[in-house]
Amino acid sequence: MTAARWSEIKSILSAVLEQPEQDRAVTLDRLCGSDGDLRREVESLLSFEQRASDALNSWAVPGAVLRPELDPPPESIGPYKILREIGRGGMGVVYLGERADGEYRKQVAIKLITSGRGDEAMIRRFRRERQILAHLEHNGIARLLDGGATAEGQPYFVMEYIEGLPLLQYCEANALPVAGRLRLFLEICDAVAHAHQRLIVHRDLKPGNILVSGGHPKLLDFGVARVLDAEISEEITQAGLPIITPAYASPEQIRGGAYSVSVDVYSLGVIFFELLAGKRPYEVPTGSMTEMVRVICEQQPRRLTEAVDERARRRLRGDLENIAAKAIEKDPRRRYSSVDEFAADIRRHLEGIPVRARRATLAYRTGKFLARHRLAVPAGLAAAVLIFAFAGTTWWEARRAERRFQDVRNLAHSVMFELHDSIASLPGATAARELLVARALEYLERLARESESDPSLGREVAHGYERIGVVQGAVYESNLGNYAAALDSLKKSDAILERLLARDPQNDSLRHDRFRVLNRLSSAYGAAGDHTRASESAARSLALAEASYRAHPLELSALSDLVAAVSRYGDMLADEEKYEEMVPVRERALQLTEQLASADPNTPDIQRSLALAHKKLAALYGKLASLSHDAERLEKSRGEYERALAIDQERNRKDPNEAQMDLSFDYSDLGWVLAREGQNRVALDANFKALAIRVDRSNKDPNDVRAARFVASSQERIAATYGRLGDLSNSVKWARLAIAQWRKVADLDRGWSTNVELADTHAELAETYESFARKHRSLYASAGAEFDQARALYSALRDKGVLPKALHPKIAEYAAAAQRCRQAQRAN
Amino acid sequence: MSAPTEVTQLLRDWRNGDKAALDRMTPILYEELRRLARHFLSSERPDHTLQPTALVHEAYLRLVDQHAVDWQNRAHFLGVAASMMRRVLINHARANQAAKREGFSKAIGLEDALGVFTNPRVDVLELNSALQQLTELDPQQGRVVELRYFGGLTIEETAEVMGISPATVKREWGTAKLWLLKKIEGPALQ
Repeated sequence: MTAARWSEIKSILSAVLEQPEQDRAVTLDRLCGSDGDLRREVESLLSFEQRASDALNSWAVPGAVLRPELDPPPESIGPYKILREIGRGGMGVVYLGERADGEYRKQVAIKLITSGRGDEAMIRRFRRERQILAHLEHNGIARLLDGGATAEGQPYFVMEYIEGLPLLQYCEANALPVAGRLRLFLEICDAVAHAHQRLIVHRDLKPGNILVSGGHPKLLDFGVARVLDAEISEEITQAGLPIITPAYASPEQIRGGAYSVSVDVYSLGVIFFELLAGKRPYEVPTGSMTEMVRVICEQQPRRLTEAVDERARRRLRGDLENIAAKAIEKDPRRRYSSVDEFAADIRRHLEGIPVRARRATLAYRTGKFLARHRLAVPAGLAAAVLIFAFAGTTWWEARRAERRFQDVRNLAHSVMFELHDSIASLPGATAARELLVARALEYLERLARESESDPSLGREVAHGYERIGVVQGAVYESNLGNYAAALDSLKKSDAILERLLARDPQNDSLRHDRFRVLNRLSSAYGAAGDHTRASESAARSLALAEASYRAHPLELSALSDLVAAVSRYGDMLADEEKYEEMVPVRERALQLTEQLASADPNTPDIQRSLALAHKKLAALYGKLASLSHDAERLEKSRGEYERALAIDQERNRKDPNEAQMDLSFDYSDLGWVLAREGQNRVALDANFKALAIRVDRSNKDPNDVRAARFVASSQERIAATYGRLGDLSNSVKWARLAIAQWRKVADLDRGWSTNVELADTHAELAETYESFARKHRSLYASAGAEFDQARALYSALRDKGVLPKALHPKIAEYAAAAQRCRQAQRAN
Repeated sequence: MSAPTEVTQLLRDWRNGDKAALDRMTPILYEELRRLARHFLSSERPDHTLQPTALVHEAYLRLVDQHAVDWQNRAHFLGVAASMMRRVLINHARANQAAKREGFSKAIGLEDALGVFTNPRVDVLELNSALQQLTELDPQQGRVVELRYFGGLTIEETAEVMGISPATVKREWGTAKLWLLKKIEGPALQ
């Protein structure tokens, strides 16, 4: 094309573009005349008009709107098949997908980042972050499942797929009243606080990142900001510039300083404001960075009541506006120091108790109250929460607090990831253990040096030792040496907390810390086989729970801690086989659980705990009955099982998914007691009821190994009960069904234990044959054959090297039994 | 940061016919863009506030004494920045291509920071090459696109910088978009 030709085309094009659609053909005829090429050229350019209206608009990101049409979704991303697009934003596109290789069929949301670069460092960061996020298990947080980069290098994240409306839309659509909005918001706080306790800060909380599904909020994109944030990569101590949404960003984020939980408190504050007022506390201008920074960092936000009409004002005046104002204080030290504290104030408002947030007084503004504020250390558990609790009056203190946070964060990192990784990749765990001890203790000691006069730091150190103890205890399950290490760490943690608590015995949260550590200590002793010390620790933890309950008899959390402590103490006694001592403990656990259930009748978990408390007592009576042939206790046992059954039937009526399997255990356990009482017919009936539930469950999900195993186990019990009833043919029939079922299970789960079950079922059938053989001597042959089967299965496992040593004698045992049956048969 | 007066004076000199003033302003502007990019760009999402054009405007606000210049000066400044931003983006895209070819990525300062904002699926180089062809056919129209697209100038600002009427800018812009789209996307499917 020549310049002259383009000039000609351009003038015709301009003329036509200014005309309405219906006049264009005439104009084209007139201006192009007989020049067909010219006309075709103009028409072809005109065909882009629709797209051009959006394209190349000057304020857009170059290129971003060049192709306004949506690209068709890719067929797959990584191992995921793409079903459809479900959203798109500045960072990229979100697709609905499912695992293409059938590993699991669950639908997932896949976020493909198109605006960044999926470099190596980012992928590494993602892997590390994913391990942190793996510890985030909360109903209010969408799980991050996977992530990687496409062949083109575009990073993607795979998240749990949530069907729901964004927070604000949901509230609008349901015309939710203020109280409903507050309750929803409290659930959001709960999820964020859960993450904070694990030292994870979201940093990009906004209503669009919160979906409401089934009436409950779910937070999306936890950790995504961190992964995408290039600066944070290696140098954790040098806080990076975050990727954020300005409208919800805190001043400290905008300034690019160190971040902490305070940034989430702030974002939640803005969300809180918007949730109640329908507007944000200020409009963040776009276009000018300077102006944006000024508004966020300096402009006094309007008060909640200034953003709404007169009617709404009455409801929001006072508490709620003060709470909102405190949450979005520019100075993080004047904000709520934790999400828990923020939530607690909202709860106080809902309960009509005076809130902590007050309109700032002049004295407060001049900073005279900073000292007092310092005492208002929150009850939060995690070190992260503590940073700004040290309402540091000097810059230096603030810096120290930041460093402390980073140290602890480093520590958590080191323990949880470097350790984990090393263990995964190294054949021996020694190197990993050295790494753990060296790194973690180094940090802890550094903190400890500073902590002598500082109770809060002492508490952090205790928390650090606790975490290390947990990892040491959990990771090396088979290595006794590390139980010792875990015990050591937990003991250190406990000793620090004991000292702190002696100085401040009324401190509820300290007490709760020690309660938790003692529970862990008790489990660690138990795992190491030291049942005496396990039960001593459990007793101490029980004493703390009693103290908390005495101090706060009306608090459900104190009561539920006490229930747990009593119940655990009972378990400890069981390990020590102190059954008679257990009776009052189990009875008290039941009585406390009943109290809990009557205070909070609608929580399904508590109903389940109640049923469980009955069953634990039932099992204890049953155990005592079988030790002493005590018919009265057997009857008590049955009574407790029947009460558990009644509760689970009610639960099952409300939510079959949750309670169905519990119900099957009730029937099965009841069958056991009834059989002991000699009521074999009724026992048979109970076992059939258990079986029906289990078969139903197994049919619904043929891949559910657990359900399939329980089917086999019920069939075995039925076979045994028929045997006791003298019904050989039914007993054999059900034993054969059980054997077939175990074979099916073995196809699903190739572990050795299934084959052991299979072998034992053969052996049980053999024993049934043998017991009937006294009358029908021909059955010895069948009995011998079954014993042989059992022996052969065990031998095969031994030859493969997968049979635990403790079970090796079974081979000889079954071989001898088979021999015995053959001899009896020959004697016949 | 350079004193606002320095750039302000350079702008005045330039408008008054001192062509060398532009050359003296360029490194100052580049440094400022780079500094701003380091400070802000990496911390922002592209779907909010910060875009290269916004960055150009931001640089203007910081470099030029607002009280000493009129809006026409602003337009001229933005005009300079637009060319620079175009160069920056193109350099970035080329460096990216090279890095891909060579199998490594390297930090290249401002261009690197801008990478955050460039959609890798949209080929800036392709757009640039189409724009070059258009500029060969019609230099005035090419400059309109550069100012509007890379500098974020309004129709009026573009008209001021180029010394043509807003109506002409509008026509040039409207037809240029069609030409570029056709060039990049090929003949539309009917």
